[in-house]
Amino acid sequence: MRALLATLCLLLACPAAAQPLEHEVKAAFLFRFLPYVEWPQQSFEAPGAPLTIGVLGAPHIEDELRHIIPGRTVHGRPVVLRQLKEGESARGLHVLFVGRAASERVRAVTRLAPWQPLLVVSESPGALEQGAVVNFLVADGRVGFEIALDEAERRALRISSRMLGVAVRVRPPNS
Amino acid sequence: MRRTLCALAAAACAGAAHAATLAANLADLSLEQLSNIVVSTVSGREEPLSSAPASIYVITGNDIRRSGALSLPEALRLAPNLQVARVDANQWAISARGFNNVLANRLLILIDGRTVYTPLFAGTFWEAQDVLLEDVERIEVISGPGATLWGANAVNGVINVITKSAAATQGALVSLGAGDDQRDIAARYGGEAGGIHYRVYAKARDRDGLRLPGGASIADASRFAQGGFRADWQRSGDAFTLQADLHDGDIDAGRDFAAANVLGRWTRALGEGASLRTQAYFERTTRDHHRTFRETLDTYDLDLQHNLRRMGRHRLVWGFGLRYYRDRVQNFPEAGLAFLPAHRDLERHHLFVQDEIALTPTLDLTLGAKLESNSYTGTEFLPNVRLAWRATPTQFFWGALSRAVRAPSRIDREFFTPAVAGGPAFRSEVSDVLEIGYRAQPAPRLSLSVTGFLHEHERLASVLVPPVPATFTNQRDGRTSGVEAWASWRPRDWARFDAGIVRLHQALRIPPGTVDLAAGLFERDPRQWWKLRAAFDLGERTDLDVMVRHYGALPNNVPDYTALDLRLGWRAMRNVELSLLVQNLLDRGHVEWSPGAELERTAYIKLRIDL
Repeated sequence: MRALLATLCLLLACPAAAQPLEHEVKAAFLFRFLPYVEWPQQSFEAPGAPLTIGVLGAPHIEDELRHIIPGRTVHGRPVVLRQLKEGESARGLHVLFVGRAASERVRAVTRLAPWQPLLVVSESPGALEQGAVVNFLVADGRVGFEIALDEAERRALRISSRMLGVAVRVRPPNS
Repeated sequence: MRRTLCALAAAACAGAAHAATLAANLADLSLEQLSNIVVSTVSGREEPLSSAPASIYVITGNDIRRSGALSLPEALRLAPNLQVARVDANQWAISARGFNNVLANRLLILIDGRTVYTPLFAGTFWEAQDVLLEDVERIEVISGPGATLWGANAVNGVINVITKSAAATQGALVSLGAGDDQRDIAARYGGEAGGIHYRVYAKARDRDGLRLPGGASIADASRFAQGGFRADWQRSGDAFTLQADLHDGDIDAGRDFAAANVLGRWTRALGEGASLRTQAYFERTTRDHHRTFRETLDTYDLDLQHNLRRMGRHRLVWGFGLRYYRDRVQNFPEAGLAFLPAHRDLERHHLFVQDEIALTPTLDLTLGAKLESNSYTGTEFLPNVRLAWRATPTQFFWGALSRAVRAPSRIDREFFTPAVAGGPAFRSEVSDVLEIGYRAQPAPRLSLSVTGFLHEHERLASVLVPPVPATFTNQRDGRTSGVEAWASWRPRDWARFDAGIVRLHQALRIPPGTVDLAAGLFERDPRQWWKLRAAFDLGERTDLDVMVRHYGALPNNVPDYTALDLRLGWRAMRNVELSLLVQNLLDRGHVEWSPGAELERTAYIKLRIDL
């Protein structure tokens, strides 16, 4: 028994590469979507104005994004993260991630700002029907995503075909 | 011990920096690369708090693989809220919240929506229930009366075994295992044709018999084989599933059994979160207890559930189910027992409605009512009320008040021996249950759950004298109370610890002036049990899991015991895994049940190949 404890002692001190967690992969995905999405010019006050990501109801993904964004730029702009509270408006955001804890808010949020060029990303089944633009799905241990292209178009967002190609499902415009 | 603690502290400081590096590295991958990453299923514990107002523990497919479980009951050991006792090579006594016996009749067990229990005893013959464990998506273990959605006989809990969809089990899988007491072989092939995903599987097992503590052989060596298929397809908002299984087993001690079932399910998304699910299945089981009885049971079941879209504050679900049993028993007079009448057709139907009301954005009130009718006692009314409060994003409180019923089975009413007989007046056992629970995620890598419960029982099954001859009556009552608690901590990405404890207190009463002939027959429950599990990822290829459990003494002279199981898994190549499982590492032998086998230290090696 003591030999077993000693071995564990040695092992505990040495971190090993393990499989990432679901929220780590989703945060990475979210960041990697940004170069493939085009916002209309009026969404930004100035050429160097930051791209703002709001997160509602997803503390773990928020933490991951905080580790990712320092020192990185998207479309030549710095990226800024903002935690959204219940009831707070999405004004000034370019991306909004609605986490599972706030999944019932997807419809309310998308209704409050129906025309804002806002990339609404969620992670609950059926969120595309609630107005989200991108929704994460986990199947067979892998994180995938589906895109509502009609919703993106309605919000004047252009999504590169490169990103559409990797999506598990794309809801086409005029559906 | 001190050195271990020092190492842990040092590792804790390194942890924060390590996490930051991992996140940044993932963000350098391309979309295609991110799509291919298999995420650790341990993450199931780290997600936002479940808001189910019930005491529920989910055993994931990955937990099952890492535990080395060789059968469904062994997989159920992982649930802290279940009391799992191995009786002999093939039989198990499994229950939640007390009243455990070999045919625990207060648990509802479902495999992919198919109820797995016999109306002969209103219990489950665990020796005949099996699934290809590699294809299990998860097992939901709910202790306490299942909510309205489940029915009578879900008095103490519900075990819901859910297999993966056919789309998630594509390709071939071969698994071979051999150990001191058991040898297994299993294979599965999954493919896709014309938009339909399917899989076929087959498995076979050969087990040695075990011995009683004195050394006497139980003569329960057994052989078992099972096979089946599943097909899923989708078309716009409709999803269809068809599955079938058949199995055949025999046990040297004089039991043979076989079964075949076919099940179809259709789910339709109705838009705006509404859905309709219809399911129908047929099962034929045969059981032959040599020179004691033979039974053929046909089950026909139709089930419908309609989830309505949210209307204002309300989310309604309603449904109904129709079930017919055709039970044909052949009695053997020399056995000294008989089911009379030998042939019996039974019905069990239900209708339920449930309303989940959002009183405030963080407070939900669920009102549910179920009407169940059965061939013995007519209609039973099962109401329940649940309150769910998400106090903060990481703290959740819930409470529930329910009425649960265990309807009579054939053995309660129609079973005759010279000494004891089923009673024609046997009624349903009733339990009124109060539960309070708390679930929290105090830190990102730590989650915990605590539930307190109080069950007030009435009309419990009893066999009392006087009068003579004794019959099954409903003259006991009493109370079960206790606490269930468990926690999961993942201090590192490669180390996880799970702990669970249950304390149980039963106080049952018989009327004055009677003697309980069945003392200890209907239930054998310890005062407490606890379970610990440590899971380590040692490098990219190796898994180590250490599982310890302790059960208190059982009332009929089964001493308390502690058992340690260990599994080491090694991914020799990307799709080849070799594993070694050692059970009862510390023991030379212990019993978990009486009368029951002595369980000794055993080793088992398994090879799994995914093609």
